[in-house]
Amino acid sequence: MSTGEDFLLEEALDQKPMNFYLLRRLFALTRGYRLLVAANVGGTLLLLGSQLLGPYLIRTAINSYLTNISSPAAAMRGVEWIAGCYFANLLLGWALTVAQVRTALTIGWRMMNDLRLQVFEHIQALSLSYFDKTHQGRIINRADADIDAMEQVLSWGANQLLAISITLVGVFCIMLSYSWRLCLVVSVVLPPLIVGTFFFQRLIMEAHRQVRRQSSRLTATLAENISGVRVVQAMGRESENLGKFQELHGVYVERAYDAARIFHTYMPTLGLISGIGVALVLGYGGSLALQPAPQRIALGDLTAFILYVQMFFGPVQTMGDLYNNILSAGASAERIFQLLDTKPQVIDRVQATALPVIAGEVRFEHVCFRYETTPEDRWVLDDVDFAAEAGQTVALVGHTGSGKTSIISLLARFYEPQRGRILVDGHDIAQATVESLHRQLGIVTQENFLFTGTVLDNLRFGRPEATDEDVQEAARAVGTDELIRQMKDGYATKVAERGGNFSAGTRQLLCITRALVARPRILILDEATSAVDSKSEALIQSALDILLAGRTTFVIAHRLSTVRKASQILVLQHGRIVERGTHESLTAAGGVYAGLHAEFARHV
Amino acid sequence: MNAPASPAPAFRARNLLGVLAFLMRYRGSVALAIVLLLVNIGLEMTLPQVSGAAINNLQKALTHQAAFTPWQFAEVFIALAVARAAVGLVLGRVRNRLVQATLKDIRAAYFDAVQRLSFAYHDKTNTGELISRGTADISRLQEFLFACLFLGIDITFAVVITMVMITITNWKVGVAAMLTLAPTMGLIAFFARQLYPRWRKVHDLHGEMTTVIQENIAGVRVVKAFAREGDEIAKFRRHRDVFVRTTLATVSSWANRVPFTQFIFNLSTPLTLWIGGRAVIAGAMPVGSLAKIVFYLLGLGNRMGAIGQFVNVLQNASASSERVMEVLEDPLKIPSGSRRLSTVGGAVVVFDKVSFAYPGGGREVLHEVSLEAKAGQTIAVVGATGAGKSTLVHLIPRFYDPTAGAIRIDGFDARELDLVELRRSVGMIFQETVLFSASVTENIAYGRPDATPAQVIAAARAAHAHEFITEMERGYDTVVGERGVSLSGGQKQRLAIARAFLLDPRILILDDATSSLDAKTERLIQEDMRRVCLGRTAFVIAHRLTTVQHAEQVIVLKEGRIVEQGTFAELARGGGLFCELFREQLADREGGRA
Repeated sequence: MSTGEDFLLEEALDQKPMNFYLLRRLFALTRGYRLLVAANVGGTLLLLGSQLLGPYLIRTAINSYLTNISSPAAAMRGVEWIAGCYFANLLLGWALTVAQVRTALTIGWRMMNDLRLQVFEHIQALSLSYFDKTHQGRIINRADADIDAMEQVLSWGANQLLAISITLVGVFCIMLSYSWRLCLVVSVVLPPLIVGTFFFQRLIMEAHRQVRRQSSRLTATLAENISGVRVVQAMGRESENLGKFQELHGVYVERAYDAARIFHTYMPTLGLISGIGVALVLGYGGSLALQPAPQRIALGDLTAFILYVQMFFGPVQTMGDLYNNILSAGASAERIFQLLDTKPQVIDRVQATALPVIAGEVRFEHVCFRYETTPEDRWVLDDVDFAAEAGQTVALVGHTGSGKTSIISLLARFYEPQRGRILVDGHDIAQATVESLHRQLGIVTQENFLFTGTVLDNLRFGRPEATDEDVQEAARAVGTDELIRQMKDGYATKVAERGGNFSAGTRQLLCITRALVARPRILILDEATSAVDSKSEALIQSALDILLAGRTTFVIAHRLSTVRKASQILVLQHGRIVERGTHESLTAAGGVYAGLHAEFARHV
Repeated sequence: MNAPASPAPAFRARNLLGVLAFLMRYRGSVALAIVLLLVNIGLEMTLPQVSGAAINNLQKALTHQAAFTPWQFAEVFIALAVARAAVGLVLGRVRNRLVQATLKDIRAAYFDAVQRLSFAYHDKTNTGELISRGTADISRLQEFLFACLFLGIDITFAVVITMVMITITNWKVGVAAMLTLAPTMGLIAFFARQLYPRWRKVHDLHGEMTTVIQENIAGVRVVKAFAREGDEIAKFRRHRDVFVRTTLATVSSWANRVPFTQFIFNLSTPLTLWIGGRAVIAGAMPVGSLAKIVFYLLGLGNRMGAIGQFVNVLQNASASSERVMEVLEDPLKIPSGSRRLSTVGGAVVVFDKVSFAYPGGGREVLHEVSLEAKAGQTIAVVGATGAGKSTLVHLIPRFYDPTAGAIRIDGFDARELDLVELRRSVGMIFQETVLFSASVTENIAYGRPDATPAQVIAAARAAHAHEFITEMERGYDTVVGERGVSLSGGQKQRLAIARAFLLDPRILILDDATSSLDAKTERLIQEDMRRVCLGRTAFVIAHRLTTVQHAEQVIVLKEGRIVEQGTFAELARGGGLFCELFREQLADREGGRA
């Protein structure tokens, strides 16, 4: 697919062990759930006890009632009693399992979704500069894939880790108490089991990394062929492309074989080690059973040994899986905390005050600005100084990169200038709350971004408290009411992701309506260049005239008519205002603007 | 505990059989894998016999002082374990090769099908959907193949053999075990089906929550501009709350059901102790046999979880296979003819009362369109958005077939022609030029992969692309496309022109090729567009009428019909729709639209 998708996959492959710092911050998240955590830990301990009790009961039955039977009636009573205990223990185990699952998952899911909300809230507070330098997909991943990765480990994994370690220790201690000799002999399988598991896990992890890398290449190829399918077919490239795909797929399959080969060696090896364990119990344990008293081991103990030895394997295997998950969760946790630690650049000053209702007079006083990514020796805006009276239309003209967009971004306080001040009605916007400024600001950009939801929801976006009547009135005013009513469900028509179900012209008209509904005092307009048919073009033109009327408007102009009507034109070159005036005065002056205008006009 | 990820419509066996047909290409391997699996299960099933026998013999030795050499049993046990590991080692490899080979076939079939799907299909299906079918859905089929080859057989045989072994040892215990096993298996399958839609719901809600995040970040400027951060957080919180609530409710119903099945199954152990214990005390069964039954039950207990998994895999695979097979069996496929065209000179293209409606779309987009393009002519197609211009030209390379009437090229019905040949003799330049993530050379030679570097450079020169290509650091080897250097609109269109020069098609279609360019670039590139049309039959769609002044014929479309037809000069004077459009644009020029 795109570069984005590619490195997202790469990112998903990152791994990092949990360190103390991460653990401490994660532990801090359990605040509010400590009681549940305690209940979960307690429940888990009881559950493990119940599980370890099973083989013990079988052993007791065999040792006390099923071998060396002196009185069948007493033995039968004993067996019945043991079966009853076993049944009771099963009931207990069931109840504890239900409780354990519920508490573990409740803690994990709640905690992680608290964190998810925290991440989302933090993202809202971050300044645009963060979004400029960070790939969208990465930011999305923080609140999505990274949280999911941790969710898995923290809900189930933490619990499992506890269960596994206790099971291993518990089983070992019980076996030790039955016969320390047999226990020690049987335990020789443990080191190869554990070492082998971690050895194989590392190999498998690396192999899977390779598989996923190849898999992402396959996906990219597939995606490219789908999005370019019209070209593929137009050029009759199907067979060549299939050949290339199969070549790539061949590599993928090789990597998949590699991974599978490791896995399919690990599993039988595990079975073999387990077999050796049981064989040791049979052989050495059998010999011990025939020995005199001190070394002797009862038949029930022997049976219990066989059952307990097998309890080693499940947990060790799970531990291997868990180990991988914990590593990727570690990397995720670090990325999430990094995001949470990123300070927003544009924040309200401590003594910030809300702007009153403004008339819309705007003044830039010797403003200098550069982005974080701009080299230190360059200004994107260099000593920009101008004033716009309330209600004026200011057209910003210049080539790409001349600083037009930066001026409006500063006015919207998406960024803050390094030098100089920006005043609205005489108030320095740096001293005002961001919210009070944005509430009085309307922006129509080239993106024409719409959200999923209904048309009505979208139109109300800038002023959620607007009534249906307010919205319709605004639509009638800009002439889009008819257009909207002609849609399938009128104002209730669903908007697909990014407004994909509407034409570019319609999207732009909806955005203009949205801006009018918000009743901004200052309007920022980035005229679109995309091709729309002449009917929409005319509608857009008249809608804009209505929107602009009586508001201070800053417009990045692409239409000559807009420029001609502007009260003031600022001509920008390399971040400096090189000419200013009206269309007439600038054309007459014969400078930069006159040249640009000639270029405009030559063309239909 | 993982949520099944796909929407699951009704269970349909037909599609799954279609997937199994791919597997059946490797009958030999399938048979081998199944035999090895059976041997493996058989070996596993003898292990409790050995342990049980060892304990029995040991007890005999203890009570009757009979001779007993414990290490003998240990040796047999180890021998069996080694044999099992060896079989498992081979089985794993055989099975994996088999599954990978099958998947390779499925993926290749899918890739090929997607490439060849008709435009009608691509129109109604979005890219993401097709990608996810080719990745996520096929991965689910992988699970399905493993499940068919392994899980299903493993569970069936393990259950049957275990039950037989227990019953042979003591039929009463056997009956008791079956009485717990049957409801357990039934419940697991039932619960899995019951829980499946709930997990799907959780998955869907997760998707919705992700959409909120994605939209919020993609639309961050709008959010900030309208100071809606607080509302966005509230919206996200609502989605999150529903997600968490639903997830926890689902977890809760999972916890109410699945551990219960485990509990029911585990009842077989106290029952065995009770019934088997009675038999042991009565002297009807040695104690080792009781232990043996417990070992068997242990082995079966480990498999119970797999039943639920198997049901989920089947449900997932049912949905996934439907989505994959639908692509493989696309009903809208365009069949190829066999007739070959000559390869030189402009072609004569005739539309004979061509009507067209998009499949399922109802309304006719083109109605009885007739026209004749003589060899080497340039035909301009004009009209408002939605008049049918693009549809008209897309019928020539048979991206769609007309619903009525016929298109004849050099006198032959296009449907009789070899499809690949036909498409290679039609060149197209679209509004947006798609570049593939490959070198400039490969992109220019996309339609003619056998072209020599010299030919590629010549084409680039002709398109005035050579200059900017050589200015790039790696020149013709520069990787462009989504994963490479991004080019400007004008540069991309120049590469498209170079492609067309190199392809040297007999028919060339410029589908709105310059409308996304800015005015200056459009003017610069216009001349090259005109040159590449020379000597070919060209169809040019353009918004700006001045760009088609040189056309021999102008066709004006309105609502799918040709309303005017003639030369540029004739129509401009004619006072009809064309004249009106032309005036409008001239007026715009006065008004100044950049």
